[in-house]
Amino acid sequence: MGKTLRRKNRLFTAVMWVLAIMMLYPFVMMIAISFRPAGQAYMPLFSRDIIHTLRNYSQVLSHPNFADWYRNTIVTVVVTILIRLVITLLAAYAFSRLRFRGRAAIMAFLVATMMVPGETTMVPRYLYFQQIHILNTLWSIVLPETSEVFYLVLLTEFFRSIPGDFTEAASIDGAGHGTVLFRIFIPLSGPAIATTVLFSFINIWNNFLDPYLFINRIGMQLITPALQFFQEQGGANMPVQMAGTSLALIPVIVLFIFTQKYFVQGVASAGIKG
Amino acid sequence: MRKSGMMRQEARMGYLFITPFLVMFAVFKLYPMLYGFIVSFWDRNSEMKLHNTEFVGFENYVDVIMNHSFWEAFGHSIVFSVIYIAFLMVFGFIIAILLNRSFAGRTAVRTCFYIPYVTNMIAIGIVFKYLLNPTRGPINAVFRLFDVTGPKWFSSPVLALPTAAVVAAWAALAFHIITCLAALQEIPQDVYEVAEIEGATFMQKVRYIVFPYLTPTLFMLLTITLINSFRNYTAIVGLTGGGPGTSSKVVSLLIYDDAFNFMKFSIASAEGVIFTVFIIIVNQLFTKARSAWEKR
Repeated sequence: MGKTLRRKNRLFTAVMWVLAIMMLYPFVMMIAISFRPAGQAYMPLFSRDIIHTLRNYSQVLSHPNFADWYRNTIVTVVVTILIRLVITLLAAYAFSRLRFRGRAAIMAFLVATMMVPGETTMVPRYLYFQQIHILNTLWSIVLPETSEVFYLVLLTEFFRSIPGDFTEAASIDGAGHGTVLFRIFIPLSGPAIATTVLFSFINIWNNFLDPYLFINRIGMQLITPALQFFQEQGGANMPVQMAGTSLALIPVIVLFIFTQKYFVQGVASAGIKG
Repeated sequence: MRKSGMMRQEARMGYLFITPFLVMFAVFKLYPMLYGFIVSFWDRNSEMKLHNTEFVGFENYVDVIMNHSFWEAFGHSIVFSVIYIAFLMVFGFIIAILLNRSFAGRTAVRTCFYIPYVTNMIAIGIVFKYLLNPTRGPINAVFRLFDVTGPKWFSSPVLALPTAAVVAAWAALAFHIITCLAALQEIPQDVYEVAEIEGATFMQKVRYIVFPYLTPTLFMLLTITLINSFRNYTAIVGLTGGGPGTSSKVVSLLIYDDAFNFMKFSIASAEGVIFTVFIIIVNQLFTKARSAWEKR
């Protein structure tokens, strides 16, 4: 009895590890092929004839715009996160702690708009951004991103979970709402803010549709749409594409591995609150 | 007296604090949505008429509804959504149950399951087009081991759309796994213990304990997945580009093409409005069905 159970457990562990390797397989192939010469792209993973080379990476890195794409992406990520945090924290405090007429209705309306995908509004957004002259600037990515309802819901729910005693004690001491927000709520919200920063980073880094639509100059582009461009340019040369893809993915994957705790927390809380 | 003064002050602070968010939202999110509605009643259907504001009534809508390629794309969007949702709901649930059991290296295995979620569909597209290359890719090499000709995946008019939906769902699995795992943790341990004493099998436990406890979570996931399944532009562009031919061209691709390749901005706006209304109706029907099911 005990013996078969142990054997069953060992089998279960083995199956789970095989599944995990299957999940990683595409990324293993991506990295493996990025070190191969063009002619060996389709040889088996463990073939002994493979010559390893760094040529693909030097070819990607020597693309005149590669540094621009990285820089643009990082600038967009940083600026968006800063503006997003300031305006969303303020609003989340109001929605969770201050009573005013229309509070529930406004929140319900904001949440309802999450149903409309950016896919169906790409044309009016393009025409409108053209009119207000933000096409081909990073503002066309940053400004619409600053008021994402998802993060408002996330932070509002987190603020609601902070016990009321904290606020009451502070207001008896005569502290204004600004003080309560900055001195009490924000210091207590480390995990929620970390989740917001992490999710923002990942989402903006991987954003394709908006920059693809609104940015037409190759030097102004972000990394993910640039990959698409690279693919169209690079034509058949698979290893060079894989090198570009690896360089685009490695920052997010590394960041994710080190901050997984906040990521899981964020998904779980977003999920449970729906 | 003093209390109402404080409440009024609180309300004033409330409006003040939400103003920056609401202003940004109104200017960059809400206005474009409404603007799309307006553009759909104008005639901006050629490059010359890019600034035209002539009102043409429902002409664009009639054009869209009479257009065969709109309904074709509409059908593709639905096929994509159905496969995407089914894959995520089934495998998200199963994998979460498996990952909830303890085994050696569980944390590392979980990380492996989450990694695709933080990447993007353009990168995944580049890799999967390689893996699924019909003649030289490693997946079809497995078929060749058994002397079978493998499917043509993205090059097949029949398989391109389902394959794209499955790959997109594969990449999104982590959200479902993490959410189900969080819900599984909420099940009281003694419920399992009772089942253990009663001699329940694994399948019985899933059927009579796990499933009932997870129903609210699964409904919530279904709602979110339903909406997300329509955000498919990047997945389709990254994996198939809408092809071969138009065999995997979904509504979001049609909107893009009509607007930016054929310069029919008003037609494309009308398509966007129709599809948005469709999404809202589906969502409403689903919410109704869900509350009817919960009350039963």
